[in-house]
Amino acid sequence: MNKYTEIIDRYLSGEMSLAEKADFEKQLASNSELKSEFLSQRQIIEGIERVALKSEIKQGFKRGSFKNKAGKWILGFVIVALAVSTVFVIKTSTNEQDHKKLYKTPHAMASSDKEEKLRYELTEENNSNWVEADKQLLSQFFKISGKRDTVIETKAGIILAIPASSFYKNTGEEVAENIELEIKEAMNPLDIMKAGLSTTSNGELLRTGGMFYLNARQNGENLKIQGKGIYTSIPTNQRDKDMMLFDGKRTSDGQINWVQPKRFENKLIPVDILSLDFYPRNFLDSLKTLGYPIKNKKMTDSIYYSFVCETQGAVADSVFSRAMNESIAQPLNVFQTYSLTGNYSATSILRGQKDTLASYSMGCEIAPSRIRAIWDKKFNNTLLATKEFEERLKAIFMTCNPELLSLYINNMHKKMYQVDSMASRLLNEDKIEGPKIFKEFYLRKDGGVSIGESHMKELRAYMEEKRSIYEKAAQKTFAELYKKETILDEQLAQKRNEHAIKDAARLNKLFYEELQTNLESAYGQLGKPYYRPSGRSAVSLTTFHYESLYNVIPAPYYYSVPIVTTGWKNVDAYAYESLAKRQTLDYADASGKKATIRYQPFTLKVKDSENFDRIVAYLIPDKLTTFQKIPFKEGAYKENLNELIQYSAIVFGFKGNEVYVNSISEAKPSEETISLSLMSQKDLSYYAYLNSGATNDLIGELNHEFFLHKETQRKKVKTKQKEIRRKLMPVVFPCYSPPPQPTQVAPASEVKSVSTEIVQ
Amino acid sequence: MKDSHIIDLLKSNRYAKVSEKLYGYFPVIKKLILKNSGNREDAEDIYQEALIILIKKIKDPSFELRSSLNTYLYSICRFLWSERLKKKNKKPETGFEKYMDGFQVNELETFQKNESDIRLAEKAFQQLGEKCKQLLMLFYFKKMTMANIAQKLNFNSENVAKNQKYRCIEKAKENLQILKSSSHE
Repeated sequence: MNKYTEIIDRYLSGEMSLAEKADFEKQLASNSELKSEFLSQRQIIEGIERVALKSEIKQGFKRGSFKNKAGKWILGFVIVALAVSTVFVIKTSTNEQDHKKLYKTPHAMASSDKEEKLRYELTEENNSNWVEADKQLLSQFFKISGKRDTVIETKAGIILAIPASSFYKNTGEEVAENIELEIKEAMNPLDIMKAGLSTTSNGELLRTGGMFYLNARQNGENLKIQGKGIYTSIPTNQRDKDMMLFDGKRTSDGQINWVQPKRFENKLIPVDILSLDFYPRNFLDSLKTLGYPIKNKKMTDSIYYSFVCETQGAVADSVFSRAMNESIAQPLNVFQTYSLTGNYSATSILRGQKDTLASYSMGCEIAPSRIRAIWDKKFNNTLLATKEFEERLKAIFMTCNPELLSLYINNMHKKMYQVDSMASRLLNEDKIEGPKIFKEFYLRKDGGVSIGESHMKELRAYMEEKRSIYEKAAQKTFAELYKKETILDEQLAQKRNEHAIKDAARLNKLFYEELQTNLESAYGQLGKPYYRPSGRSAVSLTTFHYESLYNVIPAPYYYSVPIVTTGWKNVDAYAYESLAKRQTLDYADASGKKATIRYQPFTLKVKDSENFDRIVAYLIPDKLTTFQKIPFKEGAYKENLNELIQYSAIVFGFKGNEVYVNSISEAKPSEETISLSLMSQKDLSYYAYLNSGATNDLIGELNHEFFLHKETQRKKVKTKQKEIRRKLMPVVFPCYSPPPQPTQVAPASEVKSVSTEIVQ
Repeated sequence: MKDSHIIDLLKSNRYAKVSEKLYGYFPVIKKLILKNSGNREDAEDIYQEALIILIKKIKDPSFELRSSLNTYLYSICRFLWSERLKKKNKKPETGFEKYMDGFQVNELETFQKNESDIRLAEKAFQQLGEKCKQLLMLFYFKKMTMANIAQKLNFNSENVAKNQKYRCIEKAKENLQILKSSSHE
């Protein structure tokens, strides 16, 4: 063996002690043979590393290349499946610019490249009055072109449909390129409070559905919105008809006052009509239990349309009866080989055209042929091609009233709520007992569809795609979990009570985790940006699975409104509007006396407050999504509490990047001092979801409480009046003899004193 | 894909993953090379070479990444390809050079100087037997301990494996000497 190999290797591998090393280096300088051996040995090791590295790189390269191809293949498949052909086309890129697009859809020119808090010196109003919220919330930036319609989605799921030519300069000149859209959003309680946002409008409390800031610039110069505005959809878990869009006005004390409320439009977004379910309620479910393949629409159609019955409605409508005649020829044969049981009366099955007259029965009023006539692509982009109509149709089936169906068909150019109102009147819902279904529909104030505008079409495509990706991933996850669930169910049955909840929670968590993985891969295959959980929270702390789901799961509802000005926006409803407006007089006393609500002072002090960079304190009325920031006066946070409302108080302290927190679950009119502690995971999830489940029912509860309070007041007044009256009676009418009151017969002296009081 | 994510992967030596993740950048580079009288193989070769440089650079603690990974990788590829074209006495398309601005050409030139030596060393290593290659890669690249390697490759003891390692290195050095003398001729 070469005498040097070992020692050189020990040196190169770092196995020598310091002394040995020094000695070796000395030798290296003097011994040329050693030096030459050393150099070539070092070279060899470099060669080894290089070969290994190359092989790893090749391996990864191949995998990348394979995935890329596979991804494109799947993408092609999805395009066909969705028939959304123009939404995202990946083309081989030609230069670096194009190359970047490879990861983004045309819509999502979108994904914000950089996040910062304040990029520019001037606000959208060209002054530098940035307020606390501007400084605390991260901005998302989107680069868009003014030449075409663009749909973008923010991290919290706000969807903006921006028509081409939407922006112009102060000089009136239209801006075509390099439009930079800046968005800040505070859509959950934690973000709202950290940003120091308050939900008050000229002193009145608001319930919020989230706040956001929007501005557009070109090379730093503020732009204005022109035309019909940016069609904005704000996600929400439940629809609340009282919600409006408020504009934010920055005030001199660094806060934002919310003004100029504007109602939401509730425009409906049409979907592919064939993706809707126009069958009667439970039709598909019943077929499924009977063992039919319900995913095959041709099959289910043939079954459904074979239920032909000549109702008055169908006869009257010759167009429909023609369609009907065409429909019965073929599918019937297919169908007759099946036997039907269950919900469907045998009389309603057409066994041959001759039998039809005999087959008069309840439930046959809305002929399948009529459904067939409208369940057609040519009604795409109309009121009928909406989830909302699907819902109405299910209700129409239950009424067995074909006139209702005609009403919706004949008025599809109108707004949904207008037709709902007609339907409600037709059914005389105001006069009859029982559920007032169409009245309820009407109260939702669903609008119409607007189809002419191309950006609305893009919006529709975007929504549909989003929904479809989600549904696929969810289906897959459910299917995979189904087995596990069955097993868990069995275990559950054994363990019973104590662990049941835990297991259910675990299963739930499992589902979300797997759903997220599936969604991520679905988005990845589509080359669409997928925001990992860390994206959502404004101050980036550790995050939770539901945060990321928030924006990939299509929200059940969206508040929609065209935005025509830049600046701060807030989705809100007056917290007590319903209280104030409520016909309290319906119940209250006829005298018109008003009950008063007492406000009592609450004072909060924070221990070691000088140690924090910034402190915000909030009053959170129980079960309301309202954020009342407590003003700081004379060394303490002071606010008056409404005696009807139960509040909790929350204080956040910021020190560098750390957030400290503490809360008082029941704020009482008193003075309290609290100390803050470093925010934990648990706190984070608690505050992020605080009160976000507040519902209208709870508002109802509040109303009730308010009513009770007034009632009590009223009764007190009444009792007092009665009492006085009773006492005065004998005075005014000396001959009046009071009904016997065994315990409370007023002596004459008392009567006298009362009368003196009155005089005074 | 975030650069910071890639850099994290690199620092934990997950090179195959990095290469997979960076695949998205390849089409652009292919385009560049096809446009400038290269073929697909050249493109893959250059791209992979550039990745190696990128990885080495990022692992070098004194190195500071001044642009996005994408841009950096693209510049390296441009540089490598123009060097190769020069060697072949072909001129790249006009305007090719000017993209080099803001980029440390010096760094790359020193890098390139060692390159021919390393290529010889690679060859010398490739000429070894399979077992030698495996042993050396596990030790020098995967940084496995000799005890683990002995177990994995069925050596009787750690010492036996160690001696085998020295013999393999010696053999590689011999190969290198031969390669060097023949390349000088």
